[in-house]
Amino acid sequence: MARLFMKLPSFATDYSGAASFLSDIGGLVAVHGPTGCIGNYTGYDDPRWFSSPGMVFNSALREIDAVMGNDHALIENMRKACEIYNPCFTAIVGTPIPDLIGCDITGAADDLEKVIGIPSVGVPTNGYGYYHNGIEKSMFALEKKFSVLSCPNRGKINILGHSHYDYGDGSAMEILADAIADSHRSIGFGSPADGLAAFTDIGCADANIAVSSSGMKFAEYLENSLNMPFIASAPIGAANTELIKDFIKGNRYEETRESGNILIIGDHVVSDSLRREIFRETGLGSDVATFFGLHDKTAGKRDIVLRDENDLINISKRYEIIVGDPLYSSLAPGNLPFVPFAHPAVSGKMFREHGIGMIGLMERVKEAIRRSGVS
Amino acid sequence: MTDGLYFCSASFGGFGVARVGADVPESHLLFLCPPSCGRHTSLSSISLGYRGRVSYLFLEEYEISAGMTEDALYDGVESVLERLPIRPKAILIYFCCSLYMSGADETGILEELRRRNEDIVFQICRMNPIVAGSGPTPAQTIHSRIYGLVDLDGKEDRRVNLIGSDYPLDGGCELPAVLKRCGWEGPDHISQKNSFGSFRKMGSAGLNLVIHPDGRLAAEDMSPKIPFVFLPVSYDMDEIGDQYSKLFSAIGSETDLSEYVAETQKEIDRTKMAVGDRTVAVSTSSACAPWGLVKALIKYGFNVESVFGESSAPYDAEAKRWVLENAPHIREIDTENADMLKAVGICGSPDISVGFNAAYFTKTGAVAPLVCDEGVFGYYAVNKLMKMLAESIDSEKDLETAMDEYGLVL
Repeated sequence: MARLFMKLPSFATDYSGAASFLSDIGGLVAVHGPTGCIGNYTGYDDPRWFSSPGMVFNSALREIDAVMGNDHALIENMRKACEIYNPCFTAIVGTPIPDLIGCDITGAADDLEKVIGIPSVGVPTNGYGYYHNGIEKSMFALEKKFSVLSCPNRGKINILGHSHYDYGDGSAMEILADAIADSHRSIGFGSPADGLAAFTDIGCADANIAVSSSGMKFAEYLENSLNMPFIASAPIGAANTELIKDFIKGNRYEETRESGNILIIGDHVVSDSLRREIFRETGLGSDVATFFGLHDKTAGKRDIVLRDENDLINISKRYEIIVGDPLYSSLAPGNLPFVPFAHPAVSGKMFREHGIGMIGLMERVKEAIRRSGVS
Repeated sequence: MTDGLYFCSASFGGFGVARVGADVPESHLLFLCPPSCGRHTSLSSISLGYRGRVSYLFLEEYEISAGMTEDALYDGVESVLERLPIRPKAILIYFCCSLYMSGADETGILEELRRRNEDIVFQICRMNPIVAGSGPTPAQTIHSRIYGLVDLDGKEDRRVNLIGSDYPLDGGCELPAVLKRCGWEGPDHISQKNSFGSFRKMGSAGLNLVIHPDGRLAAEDMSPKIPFVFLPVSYDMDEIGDQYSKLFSAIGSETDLSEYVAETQKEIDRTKMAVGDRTVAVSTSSACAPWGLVKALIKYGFNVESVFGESSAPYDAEAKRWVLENAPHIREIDTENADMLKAVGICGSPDISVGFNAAYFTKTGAVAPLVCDEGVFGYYAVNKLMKMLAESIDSEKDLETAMDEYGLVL
């Protein structure tokens, strides 16, 4: 059912998530669609595009090629680009029009691979999903293409789901790196910037840390297929770093998530981690609302998936403090304390210079609690 | 459009189709599209301060493929009207590529919307870049659809409309004074209209002056009632004189322009003295006739070294031929080509860049921030360009900040 948005922006789309992940890891990416599609990525979803654009191009799909189902132009243009850049693999990611006309994205990638002799993956994104879906699909596409193998016990820990869509400039990840180092382990696959070899060695680690929803399904898959345990936690405060260190030591325990009068709106894994830290620091419970996928492993009993603005308007009335991207505040009751926590997948680069990321977040939350008198 | 994969540089973009529609006073815009198609316009509408004028009805995949969009739209319009604090006079429905390709029945939809809301004027606009190279551009279609709302039944008066330009003329432009001396008023730009009624009265003007090709289709549509002249913004003194002659012919009156010619010539001389032999790179995104701009700069004695971007407008072809013949050293760089990814920041080293595209690829600090002939026509265009050139050599800009301030939208 269609969703009405009158105040919020549309969120970072699935093909942007895929393009970021695949180009960061070393692929040459074609966003297959009309020229307008690429503007999301270059103008809003990749904050690095101005200073250091990656190998992300657009197929400039035209009406006649869409109508006639002409994939040949795409394949030929990809071949020419590969002659320039000689990538370790190529990727075709889909947009709404290929989806509408039934274009076989993975089949086109297979055809491309036959023509150019370079591994190629097709990622069937379609512009209806959000960034985490695209990152998730990209990981599965690469896993299928390059067959991740199990070779554990190397003292390494993987980080799954780290991207600028949730972590901005990534400075918070240094905390996680320190926690892993303190546990006398090293990072195996830490982010797509580590490259394709690190990804194909992903099975050569003892365990995984899913730091956002983007990494959850792949972490679950690795747990089931390669028997790799995982934890879902973002590096927010001592509650999470201690949990992560405990997990690396091999300790496992069931958590109880306390519900409360604080609503955190954001990525489910990141928000759940903030909930954990708030509880540790203040003893107060929180609930999570998310537009980006809810996971059983991180779900509190009152956590909820939001579909549209009305969902957000209605749920926010039930709380005393709200934490989330500043753009959500336009839909929250005006009298409620609102703790800004920029989520680039929502507001792009709008708040990147405002100092309202993960660093210092807990101090902002505690200040709101102090001022509002919530107990 | 480039041959091969398309590289979309960070400096690409323009006014944006949503902003064009938002110029219609007392209107509301409703985009009907998959979520991805609303990302750039919704974020830019927040940044540029008109988010309250735009709504998005994000469709599910099955709704488009199963032909369920019409009911979703009718329900969506009702929801929008319930939530808006003031009932709009007009609603512009924007169809994306998927709606366009799925063959949505625009006429039937408009009839039903009008039947349900008799006090509101509805229009369907298209945000469908998939038509690139095969028909009117989305910007041309949107101008056409918007001006399709004006009231053409009013009596002709001695007013001129400015059509196709995204901006009204700057205060310093001589055109209003020239028209006044000829006994005419204007030019009226849509953004200067403060009510839907006054916008609709643009249909009673005596002449449509089209200074950008985006408005040509709209002017042609109105031409049975309102004659038009197509005078794409020029920076060439001789051509500007010819354009004024055509304008005077169209309005049946003329006036002496020698004072403007003399003042502008002085500005050219002063700027040439200040700029000297510094090399200049020109972005095609600066002007709707970029080769004409390059030709003019060469004629004035400036040292143009390169042109960044493509431009194949028929009205600019003669200027391009002249430049390639008379200044064969000038490099023409297709910035949309896939190999340009390697060239970002290192593609030449001009002293001054006109427009953002050249500045981005060369990392030139001295930028004359001219985008799409913003706010200019006639001799004022030359004056403004000269001032920008002169100022650029004294005040280097942070390019990303300058682009954000302008609000480039792809």
